[in-house]
Amino acid sequence: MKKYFYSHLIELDILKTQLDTLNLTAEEKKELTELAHQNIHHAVMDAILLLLKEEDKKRFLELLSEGEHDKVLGHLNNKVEKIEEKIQSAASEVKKELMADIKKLKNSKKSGNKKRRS
Amino acid sequence: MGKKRKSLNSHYDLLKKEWARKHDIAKKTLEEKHKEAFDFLLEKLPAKDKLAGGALALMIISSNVAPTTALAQIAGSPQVQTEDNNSRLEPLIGDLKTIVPESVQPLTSDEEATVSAILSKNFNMSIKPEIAGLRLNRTYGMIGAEQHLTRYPGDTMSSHFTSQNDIDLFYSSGMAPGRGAWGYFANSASEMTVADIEREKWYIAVQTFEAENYNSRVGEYRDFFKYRKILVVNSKTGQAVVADIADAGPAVWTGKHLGGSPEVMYYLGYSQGMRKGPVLYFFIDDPDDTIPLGPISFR
Repeated sequence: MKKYFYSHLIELDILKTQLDTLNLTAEEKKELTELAHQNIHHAVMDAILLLLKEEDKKRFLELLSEGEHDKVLGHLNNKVEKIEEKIQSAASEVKKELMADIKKLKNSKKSGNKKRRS
Repeated sequence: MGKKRKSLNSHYDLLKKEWARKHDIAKKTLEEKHKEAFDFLLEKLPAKDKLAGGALALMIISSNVAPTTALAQIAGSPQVQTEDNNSRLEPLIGDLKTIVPESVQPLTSDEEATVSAILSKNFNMSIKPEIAGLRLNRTYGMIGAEQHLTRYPGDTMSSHFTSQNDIDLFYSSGMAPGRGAWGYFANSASEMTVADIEREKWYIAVQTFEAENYNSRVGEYRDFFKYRKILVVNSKTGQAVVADIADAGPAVWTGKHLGGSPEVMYYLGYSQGMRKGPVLYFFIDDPDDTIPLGPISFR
């Protein structure tokens, strides 16, 4: 799984546990987990770009494009108060949506099975 | 060992389809909202890397890979997809023309049902004129330009923007003297979340006080309207924005039926001249809060 500068802030174990309750192969679970990561990543990037001022945004993008991942979080911490909490909050919102999708899927499958049985 | 045959509505297929759809929306939204950032990134790249255009910048931000690697990935991938937005909008505009009256007037129930179906189909979301028996006074009206709202105590025009592009486009609209209908969006700058920023940016003011039986159901309506998502569509051009209700107004005597933030008006195509025009505005039924605020990508 790809590592991002904020990866240590985000916990995906609950999502993975929920995926385990579905009828998935290991390969399918891996692919869905990657897709979940990508969804979270876009939300985190959106949140960061919204919170940074113009000049700080440019520096952030420079560091990112230069692959200076170690410096990215330092830069963000200097520019946005409680940035780590805000990254976690943005990720948490998406995680909540993805968990809801899994729950909906399980419920619809159950009701579908009931219909077929009756 | 033979390959396991799977049905197309397996857990995997259904979830992959939904998450890929979400990913696609998030990617487009990111690209639209932060165009300036992508443009800056492109300027920074070596000339040869610019060949792949915005897709490359997006890939760097999305995948966090070095430019040369990203370019190689693009070269080896299928053609980057582009959309002819105008041609995509033509069927929508054509459909709306057959239903929506030329003069701005309340729609009949049948017209609302047809328009809801057209918008739901074209924007791939559940669009309704009413939810749980609650509705606005109308769904087709004249929108006018509003000012920015104060997001937290002490928010000023100088603290309101984070990009030069936004300053160029939206600074001149100024800030409303009072707060929005629901008060401040956040208690302080440090407590302000991305959701708060977005809610102010994409807000509309609607005539909540004109809703049927409003005075006898104030509490119910207040909870229902607060930050409720509304799809606002320029009925002539199809330009559309997912907005949220964050203020009440305008007064009936103004002849306008709703107001849009400077950003909403810009993306509806009403930021020049009289800064008003006809729009359709319907509720978005999004109980899980999965649809982001902002302009719809194929405007």
